[in-house]
Amino acid sequence: MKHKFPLTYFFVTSLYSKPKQPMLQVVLMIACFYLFLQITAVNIAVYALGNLEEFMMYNLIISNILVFALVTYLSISNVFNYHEFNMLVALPLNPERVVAAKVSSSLLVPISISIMTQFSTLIFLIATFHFVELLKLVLFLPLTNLVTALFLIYVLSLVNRFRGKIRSAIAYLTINIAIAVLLAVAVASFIGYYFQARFTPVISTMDVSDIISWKNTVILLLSEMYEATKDIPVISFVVNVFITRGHAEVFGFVIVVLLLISGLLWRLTISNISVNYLKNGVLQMNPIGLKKSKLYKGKNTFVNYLQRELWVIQSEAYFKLQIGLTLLLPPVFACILLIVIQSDWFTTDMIMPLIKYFDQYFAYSIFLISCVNNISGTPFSREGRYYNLIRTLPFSIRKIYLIKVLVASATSMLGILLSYLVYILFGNWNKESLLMMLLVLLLVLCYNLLTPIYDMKNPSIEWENPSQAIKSNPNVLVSLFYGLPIPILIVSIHFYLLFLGTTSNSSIVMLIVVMFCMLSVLVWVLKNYLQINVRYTKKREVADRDLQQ
Amino acid sequence: MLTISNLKKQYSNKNILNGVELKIEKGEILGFVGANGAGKTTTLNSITGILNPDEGTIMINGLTASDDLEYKKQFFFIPDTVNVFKNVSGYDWISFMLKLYDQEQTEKLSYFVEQFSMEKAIHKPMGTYSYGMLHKMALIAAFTIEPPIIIMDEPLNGLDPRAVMTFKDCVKNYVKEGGTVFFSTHLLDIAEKICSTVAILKDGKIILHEDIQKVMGEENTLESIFMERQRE
Repeated sequence: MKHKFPLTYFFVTSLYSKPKQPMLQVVLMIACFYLFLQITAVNIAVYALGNLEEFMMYNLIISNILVFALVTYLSISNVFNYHEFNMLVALPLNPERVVAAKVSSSLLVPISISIMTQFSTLIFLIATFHFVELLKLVLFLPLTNLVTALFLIYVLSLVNRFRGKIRSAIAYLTINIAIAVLLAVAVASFIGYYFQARFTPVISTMDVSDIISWKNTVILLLSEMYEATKDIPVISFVVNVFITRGHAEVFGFVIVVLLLISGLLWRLTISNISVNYLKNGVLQMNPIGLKKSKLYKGKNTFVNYLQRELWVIQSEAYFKLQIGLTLLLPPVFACILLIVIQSDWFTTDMIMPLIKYFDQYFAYSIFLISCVNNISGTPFSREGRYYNLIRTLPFSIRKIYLIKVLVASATSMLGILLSYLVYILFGNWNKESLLMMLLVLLLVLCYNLLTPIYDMKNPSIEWENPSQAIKSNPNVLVSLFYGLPIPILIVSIHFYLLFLGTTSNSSIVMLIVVMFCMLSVLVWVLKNYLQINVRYTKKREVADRDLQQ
Repeated sequence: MLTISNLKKQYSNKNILNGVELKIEKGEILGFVGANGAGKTTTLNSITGILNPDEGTIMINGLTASDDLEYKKQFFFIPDTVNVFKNVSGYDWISFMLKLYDQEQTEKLSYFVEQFSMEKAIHKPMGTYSYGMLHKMALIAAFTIEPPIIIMDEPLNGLDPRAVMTFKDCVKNYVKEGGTVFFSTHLLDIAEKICSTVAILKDGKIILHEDIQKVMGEENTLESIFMERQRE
């Protein structure tokens, strides 16, 4: 065998494989470059505004947050999934080896990404001859990342021990996500408790009227954050060892302790997951427990198309979860936003512009949240192995497209309506809100009309894990790239009109009219485009590629 | 019924189909044979719309792929791997197919379910079916829908001996009632017994398309003819 750890290599390459289409590879590269650029820019700012200790602490925190977020996603969709089960179960491998390889792959990828984002930090430290800090960073940061990642996987592995008691795949997925979120909230609350005493006076005196004040505020916040960290038990000790010089023995001791903790977490995690690996694999892959989907009676052709789309969504628990998230994210966000505003966390001066145009800010932020969980960007990739059914059975591509737009829009719109229900419950309803709600609903429709186009032409249907069809599918990025300009344009025009002194109501009405016209044009263009696409279907490249694969 | 003219297809600069010419008449049971990689599946996928040929025309009853729905309603395709929604029962799936092909549900469905011994499984989700059961289910759908032509890629894979017998009977009855069957297979002895005509594909070209009895004469078998043609 060419590789020393063939199983880990198998999981890394099969679970995190790069997209096959060149266009998507380019998009992924641009996205990675953008992420790197953004992290570097913030790094430069922190380096310039704070001192070395604050800079080191910032990097420690940000890299661990990044690893936590990545591990949350990757471990849930990979470590606690059993897509490889049918392939590996018959091989002479014990479950511990398989689980160890899966966990390693889910640690390797996020920690590697975290290390790559620290590249600019390393450059700064080398350029300023801070070699002690450089050494500490290289040794300490990946180790804290490892502990963070292993701790999260360990907690989730405890739930995995009881996987057999949770029959529904969607319930298991939801529990995992809820635990990861709760863990993040618990850590944030714990740290927030110590930060609050220092931050409340800083926030109340914050001045953001000009660039100099902004700069001073950021400097003050960084310094307070650093000082606040010193108040937190255990964390203050670890951070102190990391960022200050002259503690070589203690630093070495902490490294050994972290290694021991990692080793212990590793062993416990592997044992927790592998103990029921066969049972859980059978439970997930065995179709005996499959819940039968309904067949809706009705002679209308529309019902057939809707039926098919529902079957696609029902085919994977992950797809159902995405629909659920699209429904729930906007109202949950609305709730948090309104609680923050109504709890007077910020001074009136700070949020004055926000209050003046609160209806607009609320509506657009709800719209943005609705677009974040972009289910309309990959509806054809979602089809997976069922994709060829569209081509061989008497389905019209125009109607398939229409249904996909309607399903995505109905879900997003319901999420927005629920957010406005929350808005009303918080006592914020007026004529302007109603108009803004209408405008946002039209924006959602417009966005959902556009976003499936690229995916229709270039579906990524060769997936094993359903997350590859949605979240890990670069088509999402492409669809955002061309789907968002129209909403951004509308928002810009709106605020420009307000800036010019147009009354709020008339500006919204004008934009609603513009949106109606735009939607009519879009529908007309799409109708013709899809008509051409049907005729052109014999020359499409995508099928060739699929067949080659 | 089905006319294929000058069908060409390339993958990575390699010619898979080199101008396939084929004409299938109504009532014909055509066995499509060829070595692995000869281009059988590519030809079938081109007819059914899964694949887009580089050149050539395909017509079924005077309709081309640009006629979209009407073209697709002319055939029912059973691929070598039957992909169906795992949460849906076989019965619901076939009922859905009937709606797609604008047909009413009749006793035919129960008849074929019984013929293929699928009574116990038909109301269970298709995710619980074995490979052979999925093929049986696809065959039940095809014979219940009765499209002008049934196209199949290796339809006998995974079928038990009784199901193979049923398949033969169903094909013969379907053709008697005016249907046409076009299927690829490697099982030459079965093709010999069912098919009225045979087409041999070699290096992306049809090298033989004849009445099966005429080809075999009195002494030959389809296997010997096939081997002989492969050596040429």
